[in-house]
Amino acid sequence: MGLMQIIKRGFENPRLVSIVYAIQLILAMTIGLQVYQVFGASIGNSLSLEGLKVGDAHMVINDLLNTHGASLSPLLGQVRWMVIVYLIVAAFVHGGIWHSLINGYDKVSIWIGGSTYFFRMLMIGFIMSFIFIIWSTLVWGPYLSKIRYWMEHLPSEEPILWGGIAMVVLWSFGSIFIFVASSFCKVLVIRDQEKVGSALWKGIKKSITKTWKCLPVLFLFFVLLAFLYLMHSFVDDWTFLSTTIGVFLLFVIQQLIVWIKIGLRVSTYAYLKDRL
Amino acid sequence: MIIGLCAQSKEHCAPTISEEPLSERLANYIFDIDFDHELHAVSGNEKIFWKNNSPDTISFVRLYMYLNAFKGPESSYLSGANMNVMGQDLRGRAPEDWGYIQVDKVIQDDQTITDISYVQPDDDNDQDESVLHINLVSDILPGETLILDLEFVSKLPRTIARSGYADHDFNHFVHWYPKMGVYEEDKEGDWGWNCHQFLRQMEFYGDHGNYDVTIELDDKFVIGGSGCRQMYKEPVTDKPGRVETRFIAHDVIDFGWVASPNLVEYDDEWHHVEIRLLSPKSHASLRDRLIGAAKHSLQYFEDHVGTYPYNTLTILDPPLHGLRSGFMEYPTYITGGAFYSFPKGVRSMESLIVHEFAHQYFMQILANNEKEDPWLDEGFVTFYEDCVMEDMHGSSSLIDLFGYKVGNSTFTRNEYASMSNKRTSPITTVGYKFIGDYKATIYSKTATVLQTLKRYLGAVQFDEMIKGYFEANMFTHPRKDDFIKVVKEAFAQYPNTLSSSIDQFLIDALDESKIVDYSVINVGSAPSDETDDSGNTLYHNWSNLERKGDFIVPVELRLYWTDGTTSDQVWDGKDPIYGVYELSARQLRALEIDPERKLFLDIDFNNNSYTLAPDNGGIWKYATRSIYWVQNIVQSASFLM
Repeated sequence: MGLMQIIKRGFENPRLVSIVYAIQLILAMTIGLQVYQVFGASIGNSLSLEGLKVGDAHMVINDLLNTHGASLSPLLGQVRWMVIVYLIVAAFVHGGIWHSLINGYDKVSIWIGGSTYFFRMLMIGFIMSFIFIIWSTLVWGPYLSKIRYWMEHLPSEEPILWGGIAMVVLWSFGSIFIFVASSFCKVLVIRDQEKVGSALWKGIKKSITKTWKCLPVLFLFFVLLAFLYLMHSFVDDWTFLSTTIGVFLLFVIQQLIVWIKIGLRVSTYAYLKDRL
Repeated sequence: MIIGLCAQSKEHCAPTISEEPLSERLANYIFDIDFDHELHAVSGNEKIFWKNNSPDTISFVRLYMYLNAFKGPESSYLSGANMNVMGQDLRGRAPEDWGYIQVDKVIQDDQTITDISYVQPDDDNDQDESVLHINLVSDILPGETLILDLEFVSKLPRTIARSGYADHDFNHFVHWYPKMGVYEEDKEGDWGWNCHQFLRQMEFYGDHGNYDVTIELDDKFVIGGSGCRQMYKEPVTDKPGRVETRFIAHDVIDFGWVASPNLVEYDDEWHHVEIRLLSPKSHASLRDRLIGAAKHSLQYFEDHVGTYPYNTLTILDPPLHGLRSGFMEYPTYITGGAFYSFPKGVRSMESLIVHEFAHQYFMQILANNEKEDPWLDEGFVTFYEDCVMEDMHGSSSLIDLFGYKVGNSTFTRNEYASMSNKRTSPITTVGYKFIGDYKATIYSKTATVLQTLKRYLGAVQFDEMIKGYFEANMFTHPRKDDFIKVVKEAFAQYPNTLSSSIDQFLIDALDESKIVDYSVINVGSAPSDETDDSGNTLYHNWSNLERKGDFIVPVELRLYWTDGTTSDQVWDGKDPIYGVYELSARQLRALEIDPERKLFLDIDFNNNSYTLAPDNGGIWKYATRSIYWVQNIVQSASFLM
């Protein structure tokens, strides 16, 4: 199956992608609108606002944080809580996506799948997240704890940098393996009606043999995501997007990127489902 | 003897652009030393020629013994820093990791001096051995030259505050020899030795003079330092594998050097200046960036301050394990701090080279007392670092990466404006007595004061003022009053908004911890019952302004009218609340205090203006960015759910 065909699978049901997108947008808007309000209340009548549009924002933001930082810092706390809330919401939404991919999509499949498999998805998600945290600690803990020593004793940072890149590659492989295992577990639970414990065991076993075969495609997905991030950086820097219409256009581009990323996630799920 | 030194050095290298002495050359040194890299130590002879230019007869001298500050936890420097120097925890060090300097013999007029002791002029810590007191065998009359012969040993510590060694290969000899204090007239008019102990938040102070330094060491070492190399790695007779290198430096206040077998030497030149970069092999790709920053600095200072009078500039780009030796300045020798594969859009390594180069002017040529008036070098250097970098790279001179842009002067000003407590010791506080955020005040606030002066005076006039300050004080020890004098003269010669209150401005900016913050409270416009001659309705236009800080400065006001015109006024800035009113056929749309951002010391520019027709596009841009990033965060965080 070609890459384009794999990608197409994720966008076969734009409604499915749009539902996930809408949930994320609503959550994110609660922060975005507060940012708008805080900025407006703090410096809404200042001529400095011109600087925010054209990228000359360092001084404006610096002075804003110095004077009104107390108004903005609670928003960071809210983002932390929002992530936790979304992890729970994601267990529901992703259960729905897997159900739709395995049993066929219709208008209610995402909601039925979400409600039917919510707790099992949640359990798999937390167990896999726990494994992921252990893996990350095992990989990065020793490396990071040695950096101070290396800085005092190594004549060059070159090995630290390349060692770090090697660690990123190693960590990424492990993370992909955990992601594939997590996906296989969910397929086994929904498609084969396996219990969570059994699905975890079988999913991990299957992923040991199958992850390598999936790597090229998963790597291409990663490249696509990186490309989208870079594209946003370039677009965000375009001066002509500093007019009011330009800002609206920028918002549309941002949201299109987010929507495509969700579609790519669904494509990845569809691809992995077919590999099991 | 001093003349002899000059004559000899001309055969192989000329340290300065002038054949005539540039300074009074009060403190001159000849070294003949052996470097033992296994012990990280040098031993040998030092000959000091010190000219008494005072009206006093000198019966004793005082010498700096800086390395003794790293002799152990009892020194005033380390105990004052709670054994933590720039984030380096020094507790639990092995005995061999400490350093010291030891004078074994002092001879004057062929007589060995025995009356030698350590003194503590700044505190009562009798464990501190950073100042040596020598009672002379015979007095030195005004105008006479003292000649002292010393035998000494200097052992480096594992690097502390730039001095020291890293592992087995990197050796940085700075503040490594017995160095004369400065005999001078103090601010009260009394003559005496200015030779402080080495304390926390303190740098260095010395007289200009000549250095002739011959170092014997193993052949494998690459060696570089202050001045020019009159002889480089000449084999030593009867000592296989040992070589000698001889440095000559004229009209400088200090001498530093580095030796490591793992440095690569890159030579370049700018006009009369030989530029030598000593860098680890892995930093080869950074060569052009580092040397480019040095060249641009040389050109900028040539154009805006004065000619660089030396023929050499050596740059040490330290290896990773020697990074604690970086970020420092010595005469004609500077140390940077760079990292392999550092992104080109982050220019901190270039900025650092510019900063340390600027010290060649502010601390070396204008040799202020860094211990007592650190602002006269660090503040000026930070200001010129910003100027050079922005001249090189424009308004996003420091960072220009993935759309994130930061300029140097903005960064510096923000460092001051972001201080959680701006009521620290004033800028002109003696360095080691300073309380508060030292860097944000001495470096950044001073630079922001200078930026303010430049903006009020005008760039060309400011350059003229600094050139005058430089020429009048080069190769001396300028003090605060020397700078104040030229500022006042310049503001009198080129009248501007600040001229009438420049005296008070300088007091408030330098000797106080006052805060500048002017704000527009509101703007309004409403029709009146009156009309003008043409029958047009006249409007009441008003705005209320507030002085939120206690630093009073006259400020310029710009009124923006709905017909697209603007008009300017000046507010003396004195009253806590100030009202602007105008009955006019046009309507007021906005008012801005200090529209050209001359008063760079103002800690909040956002409240400097108020408009009745805000353009919220910028706020929307940040709101949409927030939405986008929150969406990305939740997507990434949930990849396993």
